[in-house]
Order: sequence, then C-alpha cells, then structure tokens
Amino acid sequence: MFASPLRGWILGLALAVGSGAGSYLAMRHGQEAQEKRFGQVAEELQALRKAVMARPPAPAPSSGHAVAAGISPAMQSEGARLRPEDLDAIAARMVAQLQQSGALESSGRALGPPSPPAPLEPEQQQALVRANSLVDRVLSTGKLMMQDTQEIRRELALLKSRQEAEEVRRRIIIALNKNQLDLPEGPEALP
Amino acid sequence: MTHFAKKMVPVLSVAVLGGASLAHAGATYQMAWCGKSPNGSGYCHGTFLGFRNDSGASTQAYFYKSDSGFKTFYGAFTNPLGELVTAGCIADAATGALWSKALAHEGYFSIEWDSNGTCTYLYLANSSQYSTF
Repeated sequence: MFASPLRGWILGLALAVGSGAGSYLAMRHGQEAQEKRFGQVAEELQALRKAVMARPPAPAPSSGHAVAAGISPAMQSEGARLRPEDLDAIAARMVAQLQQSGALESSGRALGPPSPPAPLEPEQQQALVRANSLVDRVLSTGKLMMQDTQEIRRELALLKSRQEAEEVRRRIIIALNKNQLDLPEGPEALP
Repeated sequence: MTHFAKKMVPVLSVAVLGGASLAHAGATYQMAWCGKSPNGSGYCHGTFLGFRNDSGASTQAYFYKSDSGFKTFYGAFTNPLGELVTAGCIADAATGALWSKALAHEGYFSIEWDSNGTCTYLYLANSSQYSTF
C-alpha cells in the first residue's frame, strides 16, 4: 500500500546523493586544476625569487623591515641586470597565465592604447596658462619665493591630478636639480 | 626611616635610573647625504633623524603628497665642501606605490631620480637603530 511512495522516496534520495556526489567530483576536479596552476606559478615565482636573491642586495646599512621600488643600484650593475630574453620570457608567461585564467576575455574589451584624456575645461586651461606664466617668470629670475609657490599651487589645484599640472611642477624640479633655481627657506617650498 | 636613609633616596633613584638607561642603550645609526650630477640626476639617503640633526642649517628631507595625488620628494644637504645640494623628484608609478609608507616613515630611506626629475628608486627600511619612535 505504501510501497509506491517508499519507492519514490528512495529514488529521490538516490538522485540527491548522485547529484551531490557529481557536484563534489566536479568541484574537486576544478580545485585540483586550480591548485596545479597555482603550484606552477608558485614554482616560477620561487625560481625568480632565488635568482633575484642571488644578486647583490640593496644598499641598506643594516637589517630590518624594508620595502623598495624601482631598480636598485645593485640591480643596475651589468652583471646583475635581467637579460632582455629573461624579461620577454616573464612577459610571455604572464600573458599565457592571464589567457588561461580567462582574465583577458572577461574584461569585455580588447586591450588597446589608453584613451586620450578629456580636454581641459576653460577655467582649467586659463589656470594652466597662468601657472606656466608664473613658472616662466620664476625661471627667468632663478629664484622661487614662497609667494610664487603658493600662487602656482593655487592655480594647479584647479587642474587636480591632470598630467599638465605634473608637467608644470616638473619644470620647477628640473630647474632646481640643474642648479638653475633657488628655493625659499623652510618646508613646503615646492608647489 | 632614618635621616641618613631619607637623604640617600634621591641619590639611589638617580643611580638606578642612570644604570637602567645605560643597560638599555642599543645600537643607533643616523646619517644624511644628498648628491647630484650636472644633468640633474641624483640621490639622497639617510635617516630622518640624521637630516634633522645635521649641522647644515638648510638640511632637510621630506616626502609630500597633495590632495590631487601629486607625490614629490625634496631634499637639501650641505656637503663637506660647504655646497648646498638641493633637489627634488616626482614619483613614478613604482615609487609612488610606496609613497604612503614614505609619508609615515621614521627610519632609513634611499631615493634616486633621473635627469627628468622622476624618482626612479625608493628604498625604505625601519629598524630600532634609526628612530626613537
């Protein structure tokens, strides 16, 4: 009398167990593939780290927690520099890893040159002209006064993080580094 | 407490404090140096404590970041020849990534820049030798 419902329950239970086992196996397979890929990357990083560690250290006077960016003086020596073919191999390997991971496809668009920045707003253009005029005057006199610094800084504030603002500041820094410009005494001398 | 013992309390206190400070004196290190070539490229390295304690009246070093994200370094140092070396640089992407650490740094740093005024190398290290914290 209740044999048919019981058979249904057993069948449902079997299906549930089978589905769970199938999901587990698929997930396990995916995890193994991912772990294998991570393992390969870790091995490559380990080899690269060993190669870098074998080179002369950065010029720290003593031990301690340290961070660095750029190319250290030790790395700039001819014997310690990575060869072009090493860099090509690293770049090619990185591209291959990105392609395998699908990161390039998932971005939704092909990698291309960056789009040009938006044109300056009229008031930004005017501020840029004023800032460059101030710098022209400062460079002609060879002396940057604190008032100049504040005026240039005020004009450049309108340009926010635009590249044009950086170029104005760079003109001052290059002149300073070439001993063509004296800065005012005190902190915050650069605009 | 006897009168003699009361008189000895400050003496003993000073002796204990002095002994304690001597017992805990560790290695210290401070220095300041900047140099540059005629094309404008150069470097500064040392500790902030070293720049602050340098005998040159204009010697200083600072990292700066504006609200628009502009990151720059400025250093001034009077070398043994009596020449004032002043220089600065604008962070590139790699060195700029460390700028937030540099702004809070109290230890040893080494920074280099090219003839275009771009900071090309930045090294930061903290150690018990560099700062009183």
